[in-house]
Amino acid sequence: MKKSIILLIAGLLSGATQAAVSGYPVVLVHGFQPDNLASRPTGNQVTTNGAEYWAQYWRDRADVRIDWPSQERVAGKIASDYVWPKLQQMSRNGTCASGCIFVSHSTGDLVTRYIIDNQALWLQNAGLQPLNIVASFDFAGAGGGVELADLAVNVASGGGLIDGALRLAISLWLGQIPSPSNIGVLNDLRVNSARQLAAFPDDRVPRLRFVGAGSDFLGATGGFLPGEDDGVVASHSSCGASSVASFNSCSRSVAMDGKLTSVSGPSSFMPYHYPMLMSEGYSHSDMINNSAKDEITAANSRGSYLNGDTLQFNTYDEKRGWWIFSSRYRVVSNSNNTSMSALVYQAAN
Amino acid sequence: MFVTAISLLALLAGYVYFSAEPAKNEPAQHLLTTKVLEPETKQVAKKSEPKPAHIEVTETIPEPISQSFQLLAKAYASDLEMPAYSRPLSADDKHLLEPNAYVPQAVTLEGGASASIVLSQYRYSYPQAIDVRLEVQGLAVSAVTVQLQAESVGSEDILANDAMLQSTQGWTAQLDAEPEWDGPLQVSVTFHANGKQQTLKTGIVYSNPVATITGVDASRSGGSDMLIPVQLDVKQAGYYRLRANLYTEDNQPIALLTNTEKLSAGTTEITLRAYKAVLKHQSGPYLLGSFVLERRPAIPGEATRYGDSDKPFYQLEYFALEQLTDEPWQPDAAEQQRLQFLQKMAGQQ
Repeated sequence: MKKSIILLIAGLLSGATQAAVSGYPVVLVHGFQPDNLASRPTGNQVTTNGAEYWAQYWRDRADVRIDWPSQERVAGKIASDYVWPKLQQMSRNGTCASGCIFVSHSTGDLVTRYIIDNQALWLQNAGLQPLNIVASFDFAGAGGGVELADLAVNVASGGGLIDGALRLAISLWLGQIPSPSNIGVLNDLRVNSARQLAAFPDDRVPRLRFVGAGSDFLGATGGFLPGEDDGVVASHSSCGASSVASFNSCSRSVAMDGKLTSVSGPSSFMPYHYPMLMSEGYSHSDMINNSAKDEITAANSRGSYLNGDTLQFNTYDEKRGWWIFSSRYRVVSNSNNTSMSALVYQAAN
Repeated sequence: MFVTAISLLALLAGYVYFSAEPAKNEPAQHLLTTKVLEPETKQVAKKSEPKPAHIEVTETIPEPISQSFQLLAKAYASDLEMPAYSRPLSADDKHLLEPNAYVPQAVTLEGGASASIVLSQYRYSYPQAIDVRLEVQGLAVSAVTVQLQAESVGSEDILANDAMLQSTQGWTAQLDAEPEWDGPLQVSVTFHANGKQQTLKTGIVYSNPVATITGVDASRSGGSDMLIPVQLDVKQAGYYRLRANLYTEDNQPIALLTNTEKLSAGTTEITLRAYKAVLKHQSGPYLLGSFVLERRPAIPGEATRYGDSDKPFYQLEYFALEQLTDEPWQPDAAEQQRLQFLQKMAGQQ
């Protein structure tokens, strides 16, 4: 009996250790769920959807999930009916009293930014202790907006001149063409609206960006997105770039596939947004799953790589009369057999 | 012949292996692959002056993930050297320099055509008119009209409805403001082409200002900060956040200044602070502008409201920087904890 109790306690302790990043509790904020626009889930169904969303990797490594339905607006019912109860619960339980890590995917990035900007004021006004958010890990972050959302709103308006390939891309992404009255969080995801929502929180929470450039839709959506994209989110948004442009990487000296080369990348980022890892082969949904899809590269650069001279690897051997074209690829160790989410989690534990 | 080719490959591989100079701090075990690119011998035979042979070398540089976190920790530490209320600005910080920018989103139409709604800004303050332009590429359109209505679901009231006129810049209309315009609004532009009708939509925010910046008093010293008192006429009490950019007299950006205060209705003041090190020995005169005045949501679900400014810019006189002290900025406890977390991820603790 005594042995069983000890084993039980050991099990609970190991469980508690597992549900943490570097000792900090983990809070999950999921992304846009297209089928919500038609099914309009509420209550327990929202929770069930949230659990399913993170099932592949993060669900059992987290302490709290903030689940929300996509037919609502971020600053409206998502904040008041779904985020707020969880913020109060976390404050009362002391979940983040010693610090916690937010892990977001896709639109969860935008919801997290809205939380970072407002949670302290709301909780203080309610006589509760603000959360101590130590950092966020943002996978395929959509905080800089999603061009497909702008396009979806226009396709939903039902005109007869929309390009057929665009209509197909939107229906592949959403599983349907939405109606004008059933757009929900897509309104917030439009590029201008997203970039203006809680654009610059005062709290200096480091936002770590993890970026992919694959596609869940065989490339059908990529033609409507500027620069590299993961099939849903363009790199200006997932990298956390300060401006909307056609970027092929989060770095100006490392391509998405790790090649050290001069490449179009952002010259500045949203405040306290730091690109960390990127990979050519990871699609939007791959980012939070548990399968290694491709080698992964570091999106930030050593100072020496920023110097254009060090990117010139081609040399001419005069004696032999040969040109040697040298390509260097930087890859994160073990990324050929470990998923991006697992790499990050393992690095922290 | 076969033996010669093998010898050439071996020689070249050996040359590259021994001549490649590894970048500093790179792990030792690089992976090298070498191949001869194209049959250069044919070109050599055709030309009197032989063209040098090509070889391509691919070098894979494995890098531990901790290296990425080291760079991040360094970048975050650098960002913490200045206070959050006084952030250095550079010409690259486009979103901070133009906090009210509107980025047009083109919609792909049939036959390779495209159309976009172009606006001069995202947020408007009463009594500003809204200038709407429709840009169309590759399609002749007619009967162009614009409508304005509230963005909220179920809101059917048309706030404005106007015909758009063709000009050299596309189809344009000016919507003159009404005092009741308030909150997120939807701009819809409808046009006809090829016997079909199409409507494009975009979102903006219109505010009947809840507070107005009426002036800026003379700066004074406060420890290591230049204090800038900004005069406000507050119509609705609440938690206000004021952001303003400080520029040199010739419009070079210096710093983004931020302060949040709980303000009562009436004539009041909010003080911005410019940290001495951010001023970089520039003693003025300065310009203060690019204002964003927000009345923040005190509870979840409440909308952010906006104020305006009587003038887009205010001039600040010369300020003797010797009045300010030189003590280094100390990040607060939460920020230090965040930095320690990143350093731990980098294996530095």
